[in-house]
Amino acid sequence: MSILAVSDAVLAPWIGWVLLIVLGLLWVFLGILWGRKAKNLEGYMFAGRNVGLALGSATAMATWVTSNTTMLAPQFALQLGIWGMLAYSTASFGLFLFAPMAKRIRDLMPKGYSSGDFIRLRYGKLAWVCYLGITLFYSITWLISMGMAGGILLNVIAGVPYEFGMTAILLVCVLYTLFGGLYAVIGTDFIQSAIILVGLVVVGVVVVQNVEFGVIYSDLRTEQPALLKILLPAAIIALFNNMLFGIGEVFNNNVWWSRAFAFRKEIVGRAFALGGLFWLPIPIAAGFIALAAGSLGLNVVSPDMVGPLVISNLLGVTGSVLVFIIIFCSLASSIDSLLAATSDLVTEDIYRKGFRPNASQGELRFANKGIVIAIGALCWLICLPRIGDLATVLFFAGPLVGSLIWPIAAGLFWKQTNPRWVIAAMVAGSVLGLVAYFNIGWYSGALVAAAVSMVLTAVGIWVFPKDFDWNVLNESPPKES
Amino acid sequence: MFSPAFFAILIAAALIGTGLAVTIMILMLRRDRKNKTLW
Repeated sequence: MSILAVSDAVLAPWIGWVLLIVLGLLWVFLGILWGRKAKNLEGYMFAGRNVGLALGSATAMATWVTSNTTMLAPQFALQLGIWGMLAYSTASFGLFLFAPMAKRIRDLMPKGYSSGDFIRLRYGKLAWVCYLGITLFYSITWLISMGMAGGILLNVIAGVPYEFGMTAILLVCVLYTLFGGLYAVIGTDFIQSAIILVGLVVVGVVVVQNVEFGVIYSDLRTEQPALLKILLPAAIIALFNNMLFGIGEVFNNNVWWSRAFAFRKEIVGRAFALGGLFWLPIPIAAGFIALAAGSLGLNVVSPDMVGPLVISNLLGVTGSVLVFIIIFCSLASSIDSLLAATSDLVTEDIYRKGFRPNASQGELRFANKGIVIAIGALCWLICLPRIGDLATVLFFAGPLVGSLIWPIAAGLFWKQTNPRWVIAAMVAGSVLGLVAYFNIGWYSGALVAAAVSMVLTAVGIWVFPKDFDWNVLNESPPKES
Repeated sequence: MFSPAFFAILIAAALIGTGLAVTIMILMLRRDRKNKTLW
């Protein structure tokens, strides 16, 4: 069995830099171009609240395709087999289930600004503080995992030092988000998602042409039969955990809420459902590549780099260029969304509600830009020391967001949801989810958090019901000038 | 143990599904542009 290392297929650093500069300039140029459409705060933060089905479904899908999808799905397949790929695919359920919620959000909050507004108006200030703590932690963790992935990618594929690659990717995303707001984010997401999908199909077809299904299957059966087992307990728990983690991630985060506010009312539900449907096959298409590693005789030193390793090995320089472009697009499509949505959340919930309740739209737009830069800088500082592997960073937030699923869903649909029990559900779900995460395993954290949170939210609805006036959610927007 | 047929069908379906997704996206974009409902 021949043993190949990553260095056999890496790009020359100058190719990496050229790709980085070309893609970076393209996104910044498009950011400036589309940003000119944003004439006011509504335009900058919500792309005029009039986004159509094509761009809506593409941005939902592209945002959900992160570097973790293209790099962690192969790692899941390598470690948990077929169940691992299926487990990752269940994250699309978050988008499916958010579809009816997004429609409800659009109906209840036609001029809404952030997910934090909903929690504050629905459950009060204490719940709002708990929510902001969790969702900001999650958003920053997500950003860090992608900033780190970007640095690692450039380092492994093109030999660019980690610090330079990570800085470059963050800088490009900060720049075009800053210039173009949500117009730039959604417009670039469409192009990025098309590139990712076409790239994955090309890579998948090349893998299948080089190594037949039968060969991959029989090699796995001989070398790692556990990966083909129907009853693989850890993988089955991971499936449910991942599904709940995905649902929690989508329900809690302002990335999705800001899109619910931005999409046209008539298409908002369909856009999320289609986004989920487009996303569903991606972890399998990206993940199965890892299962070919054994048949190709590759020595996988770092499991989170198995996808790029296989592709680079099969396609040489062309493959490395393709991997570079796919992962760069995956990173940019999520980093831009997170920067925009998190800065919206901080602008609305901390700057406006906390310090400047009478701020004009012009002032808020200026503050929003400053916050985009501040979040980018914070993420850069945390990414710099390169701590932890990708899975650890990502899944640490699982129990926290899992505890928010029921409070958010129940708050949108059940008039009797009790705010005090919702706070108990968030806190107890997070704490017990983290206990499970550390004592049982990462694959159980979101599961435990969601279960605990569901029981407490349900007790609040059925044993201690408290009526709510839905009209409270329809808050007036900030003044024009 | 998952069967070889299941394995092959799963992968093929994922690749076809991914290809279909990008095709539908582009067709929807053309329709929205034509109907002026892009933004």
